[in-house]
Amino acid sequence: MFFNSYLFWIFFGFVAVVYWRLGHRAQNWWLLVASYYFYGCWDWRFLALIFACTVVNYHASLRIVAANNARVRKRWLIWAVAFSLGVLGIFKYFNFFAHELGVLLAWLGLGGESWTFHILLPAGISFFTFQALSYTVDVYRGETRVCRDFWNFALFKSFFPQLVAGPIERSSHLLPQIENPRPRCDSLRFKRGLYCVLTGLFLKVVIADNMAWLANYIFRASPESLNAPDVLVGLYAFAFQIYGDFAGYSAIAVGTACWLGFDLMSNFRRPYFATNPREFWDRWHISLSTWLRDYVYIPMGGNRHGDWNTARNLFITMLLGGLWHGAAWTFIAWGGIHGLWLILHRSMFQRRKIQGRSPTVRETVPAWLTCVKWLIAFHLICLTWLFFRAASFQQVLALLHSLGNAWSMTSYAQTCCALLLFFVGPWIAYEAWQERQRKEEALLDQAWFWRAAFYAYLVLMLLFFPPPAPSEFIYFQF
Amino acid sequence: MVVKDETKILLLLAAMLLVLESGARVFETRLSKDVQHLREIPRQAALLQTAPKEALKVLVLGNSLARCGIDLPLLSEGLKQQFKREIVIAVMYPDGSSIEEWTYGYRRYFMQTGASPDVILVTTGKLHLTDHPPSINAMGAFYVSGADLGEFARSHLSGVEDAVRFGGARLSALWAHRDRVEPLVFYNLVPGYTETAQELNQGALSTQHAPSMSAPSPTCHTFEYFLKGLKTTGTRLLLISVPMPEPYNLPDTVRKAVQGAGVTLLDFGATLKMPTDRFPDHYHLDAQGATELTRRILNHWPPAS
Repeated sequence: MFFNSYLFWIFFGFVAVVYWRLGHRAQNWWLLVASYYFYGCWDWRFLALIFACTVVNYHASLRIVAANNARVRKRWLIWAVAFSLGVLGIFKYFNFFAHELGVLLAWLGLGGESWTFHILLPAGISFFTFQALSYTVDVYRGETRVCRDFWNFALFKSFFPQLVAGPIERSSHLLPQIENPRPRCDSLRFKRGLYCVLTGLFLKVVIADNMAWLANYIFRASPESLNAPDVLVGLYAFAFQIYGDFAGYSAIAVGTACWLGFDLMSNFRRPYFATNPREFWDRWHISLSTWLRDYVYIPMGGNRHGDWNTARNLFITMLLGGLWHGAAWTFIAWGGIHGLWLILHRSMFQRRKIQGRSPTVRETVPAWLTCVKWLIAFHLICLTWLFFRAASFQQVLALLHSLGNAWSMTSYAQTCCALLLFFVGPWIAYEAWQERQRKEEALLDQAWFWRAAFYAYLVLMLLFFPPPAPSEFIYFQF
Repeated sequence: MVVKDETKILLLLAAMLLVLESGARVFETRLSKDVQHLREIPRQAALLQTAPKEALKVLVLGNSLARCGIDLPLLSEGLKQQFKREIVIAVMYPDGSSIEEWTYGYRRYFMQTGASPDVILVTTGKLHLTDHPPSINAMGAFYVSGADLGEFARSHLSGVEDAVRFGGARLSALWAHRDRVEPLVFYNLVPGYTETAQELNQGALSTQHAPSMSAPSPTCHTFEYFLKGLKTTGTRLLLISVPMPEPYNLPDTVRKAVQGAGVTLLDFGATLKMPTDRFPDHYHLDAQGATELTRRILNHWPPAS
C-alpha cells in the first residue's frame, strides 16, 4: 500500500474518520490495528517479525530499568541490540556477507560454495529496527522514560505513517505523543497537513517518477553508447528522483501524522542547497544522520580525541551509513566517499579556523562564492549518487569513463534538460524562495491566495503530468 | 480566519477543476482528431441502424493501420460492383487501440444498440489480437458500456487502483483526457522528445519483458470472447492482417482461435510484401499502399456476403 496509491488514501480516510470519533485509549488501539493492517498489506508473514522486535525491546527495556547493577543492565542492552541487529543481519545482510565470504574463501583456495538463501527483505526493516534500537539505548542511558504500557510501545514501533520509510523517530519525541491525549486536527493542523501531503505527492508522483523514467536510461544503456552530457543529465535526473522519492514520502508521512494529531520530525531541508558535505548531511535524511551521530559517531568518541580519531570516527560512521542503505559494496563506497569528503571539509574548515578566516555565518561569504561552492557541492553529490544507483563498480567506472566521451548533445540529453527544467525548475525556484525566507514551511505564513496558486499548480501537475510508469518508493527496500 | 483561508483554497481548487471539467467536455473534440473520431462512433453506428434492409452493412474495425490502410471509397465501390447492393460502411478505428477496445467498443456502440453489421472487417497488426492490459482510462471513458461493466471488471480490473481510475474516467472528461495533455505539450515543445520517449519506453519494455524460457506465450482471451459474441448475433468476420515493412506471422494462439471459429483470414501481413516507400513513417501504408491493399481485399472477399 503505497502513499501514492488510491488504496492508501481510502485506507487513511477510513482510519482518520473512525480515529477522531474515539477517546485517547481507543485511538491508540485503533492506530495499532491500522498499523498492523498497513504493514500486513506488504507481507503479512512479517507481522510476526515486527511483533517479536516489539516484545524483545519492550521486555529488555523493562529489565534494564529494573536491574540493580550495571552488568545486568548492560547484559539486557546487549541482548536487545544483538536481537535487533541480528534481525537486520539475517534479513538484509546475510546473503551479502555469505556471498562475499564464499568469494574470499574461493580466492584463498579454501572452497568456493556460496551459502546464499532466498530471503525476502521485509519492507522498512532498517527503519523500524533502528527506531527500536534507539529506544532501548536511550532507556539504558536514562535519556528516555521506560514505556510500561506494551500496547503503547507496540504503536511506537509500528505507527503506520512512518513505519516503512521513516522518519526514524526518537522515543523521547514520539512516545509522549502516544501516551498523552493528542490535539485535535484543528485548522492549523489541517493547513500544515495539507501542505505536507500535497508537496509530498508532487515530489513523489511528478518529480521522482518522471525523473526515474529519464534516469533509468543511462543505467540500462550500454555506457559506450552514451555521450558525456547523457551521463551528466541522467545523474541530475537521478539526484532529483531520489530526492523527490524520499522527501516526498517523508512529507506525506509528516502530513498524515499531523492530521492524526502527531508531530513527526522533518526529514529533509532543501538538501541540494547545501554548499558543503556537512551542510548536506544536516539537510538530507535528517532522522538517519542524527541517529548515526548520536548512536555511532558520538559513542565512538566523536570529535573529542584529536583529528585522527575524529576522522576515523567520521569515516566509520559514514561507511555504516552506506551499509545501512543496502547490502552491496557500491553503497559502502558511497558512504565511504561521503566520509572522506566530510573529513576533507572538516580539515579545511579547521585550518581556516586556526588561521582566523572562518566565516561563521553565510552572509559574510560573497554571493558568487556561495554559488561556486553550491555548484561544486551539488556536482559532487551527483557523482556520489552514481555509486548509490549503479549495479556494480564496473558500471560506475564505465559511466565515469563515458563522462570523457564526446560533449555533443544527443536527443536524450536535450529532452532530459528540457524535462528537468519543466519538472524540477519551478520546485527549485520555490525552494530558493524558502531558503531566502530562512523559515520552514514559510508558505503557510503567506496570504491564502499564494497558497491557493501554489496548490493549484501542484494539483494540475499531479493531474496532467503523471509519470509514464509509476515507480515504487526507493527507500522501502532499505 | 485560518479555517476560512483553507476553506477558500479548497473551494478555489474545486472551482478550478470544475471549470477545467466543463472545458474538457466542451472542447474535447478539438483536443485531437482521435477524440473527435471516438465521439463520432455513435453516428457511425446510426449509419448502420438506419441503413436500408437490403444494403450490405460493413463495419471496419481497427486502429490507425485500418485508417491508413483501407481506401474506403474504393472498398465501397468495389463491394457495390461485386454484390450489386447498396453498401453502407461504418468505421471504428481509434488510435492505439487493439482487441480490448474493439471488443468492448463494438459491443457498446454497435451490438447493444442494434446496429449490427453484416460483415465486420477487422484489420490487425502482429500483436493487436493478443491480450494486453488496456488503457483503463480509455476503457472507462469510451468503450465499456454499463451492461459490460461486470464482465470488464472481472476480466480487466485488478484492484482498487484500476477501479478508481476506471470510475474517474467514466465520470470525468478531465480525468479521461489527462493522459493526452502530457504528449500534447511535450511533443510540441520539447525538441527530440518523440525519439527519446520511444527509446526510453522501448528500453523499459525490453527490461520488463526480457525474453526468457519461462515467459508465458501470448493469450487471446478477449479475441475469443469477441468471436463468441459474434457467433451469437450471426455477424460474419473478415480478418485482415495488414502488411508491414517486414512480413510477419500472427501468433499461433490467434491462428488457432481463427480456425476454431471458422473465420476468414486474409493474411497479407505474411504474404504481401510491399516496397518500403509505401510506408512513409515505417509503420502505416500511404494512399497508394491503401489502394493496393483494398484491391486485394476486394479480390479475396468471400462471395457469400
